[in-house]
Amino acid sequence: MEQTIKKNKTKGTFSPGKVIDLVAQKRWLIPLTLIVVYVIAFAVLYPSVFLTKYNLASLLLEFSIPAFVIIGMAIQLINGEIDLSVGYVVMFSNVCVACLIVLGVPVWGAIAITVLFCALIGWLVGVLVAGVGVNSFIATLGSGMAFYGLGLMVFDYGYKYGTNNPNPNGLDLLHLPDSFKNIAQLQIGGFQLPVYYALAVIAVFVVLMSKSKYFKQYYYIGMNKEAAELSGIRVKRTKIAAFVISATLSSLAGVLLVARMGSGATTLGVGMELKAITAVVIGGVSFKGGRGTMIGAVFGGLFVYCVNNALRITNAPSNLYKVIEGLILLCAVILDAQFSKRKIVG
Amino acid sequence: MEKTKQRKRGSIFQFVIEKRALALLILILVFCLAFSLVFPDTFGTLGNFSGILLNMSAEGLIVVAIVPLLIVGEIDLSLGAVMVLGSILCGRLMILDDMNMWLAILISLGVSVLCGLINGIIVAKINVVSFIATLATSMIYLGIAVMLAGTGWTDFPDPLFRTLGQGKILNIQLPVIYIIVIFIIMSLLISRTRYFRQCYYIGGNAKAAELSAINTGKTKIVLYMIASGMACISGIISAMRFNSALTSIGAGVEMRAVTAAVIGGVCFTGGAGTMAGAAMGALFVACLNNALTIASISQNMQNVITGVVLILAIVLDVVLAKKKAE
Amino acid sequence: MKRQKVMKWLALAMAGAMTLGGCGEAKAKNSSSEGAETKTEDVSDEVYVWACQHNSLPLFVNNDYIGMDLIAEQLGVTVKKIGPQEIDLPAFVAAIEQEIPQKPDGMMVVGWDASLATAIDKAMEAGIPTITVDADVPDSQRLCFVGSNWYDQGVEQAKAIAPYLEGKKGKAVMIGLPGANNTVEAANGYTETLAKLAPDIEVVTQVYDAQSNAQVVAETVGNLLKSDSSILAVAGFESACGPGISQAIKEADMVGKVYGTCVDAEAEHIQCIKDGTIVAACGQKRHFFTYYGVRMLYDYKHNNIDFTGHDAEIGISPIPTEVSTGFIVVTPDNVKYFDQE
Repeated sequence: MEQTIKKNKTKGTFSPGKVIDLVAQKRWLIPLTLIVVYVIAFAVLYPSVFLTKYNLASLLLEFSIPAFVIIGMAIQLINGEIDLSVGYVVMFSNVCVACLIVLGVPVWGAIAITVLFCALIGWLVGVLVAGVGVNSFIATLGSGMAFYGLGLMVFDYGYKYGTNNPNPNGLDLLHLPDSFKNIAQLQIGGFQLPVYYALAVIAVFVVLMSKSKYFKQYYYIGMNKEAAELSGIRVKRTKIAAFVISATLSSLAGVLLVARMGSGATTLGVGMELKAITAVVIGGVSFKGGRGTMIGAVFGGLFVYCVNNALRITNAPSNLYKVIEGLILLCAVILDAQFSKRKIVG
Repeated sequence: MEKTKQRKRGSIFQFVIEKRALALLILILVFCLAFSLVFPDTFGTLGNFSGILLNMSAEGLIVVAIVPLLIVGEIDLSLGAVMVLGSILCGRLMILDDMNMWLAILISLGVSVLCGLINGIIVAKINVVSFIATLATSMIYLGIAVMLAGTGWTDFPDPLFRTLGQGKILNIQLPVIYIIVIFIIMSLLISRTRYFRQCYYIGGNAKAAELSAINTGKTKIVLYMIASGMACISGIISAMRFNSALTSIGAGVEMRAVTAAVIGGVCFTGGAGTMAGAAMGALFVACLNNALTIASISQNMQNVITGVVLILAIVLDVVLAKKKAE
Repeated sequence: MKRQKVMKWLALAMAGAMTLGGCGEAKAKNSSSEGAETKTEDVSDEVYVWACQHNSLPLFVNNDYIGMDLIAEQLGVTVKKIGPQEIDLPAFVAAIEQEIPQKPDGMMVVGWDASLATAIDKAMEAGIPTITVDADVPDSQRLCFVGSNWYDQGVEQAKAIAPYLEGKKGKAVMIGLPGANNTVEAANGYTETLAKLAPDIEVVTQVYDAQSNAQVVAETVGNLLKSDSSILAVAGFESACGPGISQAIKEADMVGKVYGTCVDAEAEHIQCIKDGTIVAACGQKRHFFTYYGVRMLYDYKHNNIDFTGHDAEIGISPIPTEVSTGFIVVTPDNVKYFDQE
């Protein structure tokens, strides 16, 4: 849904009202501006540390895997739902794919099985929410718990199997084969592969969300579900699709994460849903649904990781990290509340 | 112990005959009876039941805190952080600054209520969605708590402090008594006072409530303050039990509280549900987990089962609501 | 106008936060030059890094930090701490990776998980001498491990509890971090020693998960004690276990029937000994982790020990591969020496 800007009569004058209107319309300008400010500031203040390819590669790598989750979360929030299970889907996928590989399933088969399983559960949850009418907060809270429990069970099994493994090549959850790890650990041009994957997925979804008629439906549904239904949009199906997409993306993130880390762990991914929500909201996606852009969500996420990088480079005491993150999120949402109050007419 | 439970719950039932609470209570009793027959020495003992109640006492206060907020259609994700903050602050004042126990508790309570005030203002006045607002404040409060924690606070100097957490009256642990008392008070407040009954109107239809001259903003702010106060008390009781203020408590406690409340019939979007129901929900989950551990079902499976129970509960709610509408 | 004001404050706040952060770095540089003594080499700008997660854990603040500060002062170098506040492996790895361009003179990594190997190897390949402390990551290229021998930790706990199990028949359970190298080693030490010293006691093979949370330990052990009355001993291999086990024994009313042993001897663990629930708190000499950790890294750079004349070329290390720091076992007999004011 585009918001029309107040047509400013005095063309050419850079009035504050015009700037604010522009920003209100293109909310992604805020995180983008902040990122640009950050990059310039640190390039000037800490050139030897910040401007190294190494640091940039590490920063982008750190962001690349959560980017998958952020994209899924953005779609859900725009659509008026919330998905609290994504962190646990990531965790489950990471141990599941590791365990399958340890049991001897070929790498691509293991990935396919894991992702399909998560997509299936995502579909089920979608049916519960869109079809039966369960609140998405509670439904995904429940499914998250289930994924967490399943993940722990799979890890236990894989760990025991691995330590008693008669298999001569000695695979266990802590020693995954290179053929798998290389999916995430190989480098091209100094950047590890997940950065490229993320770039591709981001590009695809940014284009989809702004150009594709199907995906633009999410905005209408988020704004007013009943009106969307009346105007012929098949709300149920579209919402279920969102759950499947979110689950699939999170599952892929989990696979990449374990490939990057080199071993399965039950702590990987836990808590990612809150980070994704933070990123998406800073990027301008409204919690009430129907507003915000994919590119904004991506910039919001990138900004959060830039801040982490900044805190590390400036040697800020680690106690401050959480407080600063909370303050930034708070400022972002208060701003969001102010912007949504503003009535913009054409 | 069973007799005392029923006696106390009987008095509440006179005011709140909510189908869900009653149904759950029956379910719990049947379940416990059945399990006691299968595992007479381990599940069906007095010690076990009092253990269940004791473990519930810390997080039970959070359930009591969050139910009024859920009824008005809001949520508070910062309760775990306030729990830690209250406990750490109290510990720091008593151990580092050698402060009198009651003064330290009072100050911690004051700071926590202030946190609740901030939450309430952000949600009710600045109009930020409560999920995200309290997510942000939880990060800030936890960060402050960690900064204050320093080297951790153990071994409280005041023996009364320890007794309040570890003592017993009539062979019932004190924390259990605290939570039963607080629960009764809050139940009565919500069901009998007009001020709190307004919460249901606000939760059901906020605009209509505004029009009928209910100050929704003020009510929400007060509820946030009460919730944070209770979270603080919960943290302090935890410190009393362990005789140390730890930063490792309270993680994920809000979600568990919401789970218990929803199983107990509290509608997540507001306007329905009772304290009794939520209490039954919490009790049910606690009994279930305890029974599963005794039956040697792994903790991981318990997570799965709890998740499934949650979903079943809410599906039931939705289906029943639809049937009612027909 | 209101919007502008908000934006202005936001920008100011950001600038303020970054300046505050910058101040931290400036202060660190100052203190190192103050502490420098005149030596043959000026080492005042050497920076050694301690990388860990869950950084403000009182256990670390009380012990590791003190060791770090002491050696920093004695050698005239700076020790810096990096890593996330909470348990977050990807952020931990990112912290290590983003530290590499700052080219520290050495890095100590607390080996929370085997997946840290990738980050450790990256640091080594970038030319930064890296060692592990407290918990090892054996599959990495780390030069040395400074910490407790965890197998011995299990042995100590078994030795301490054996007298209480004399002539009895029953079970012993263990609780810790099931995936961690430390717990696995300790479990082996405990099981094998107890098999010799108390053959009638069956040690349950499954190690329960403490989740680094004392309340979880209290609940888990509590449920175990109630479900199986043949349990006579509980061993804890993680810091949160001691208070949790003690709590569980008290709440199950089994003081004097069930005994516990645990790792670490902080104030809260010593409290448990006084309560009669824990019979041995095997404290690690944690100050040594960082003290000898920095020492190893410093010696790596400065000790000029070369066995063959071309050690560096053929990959021979001038420092030991393992420094085993030992234990302080607190029991009811010697607990009076550990009264903290």
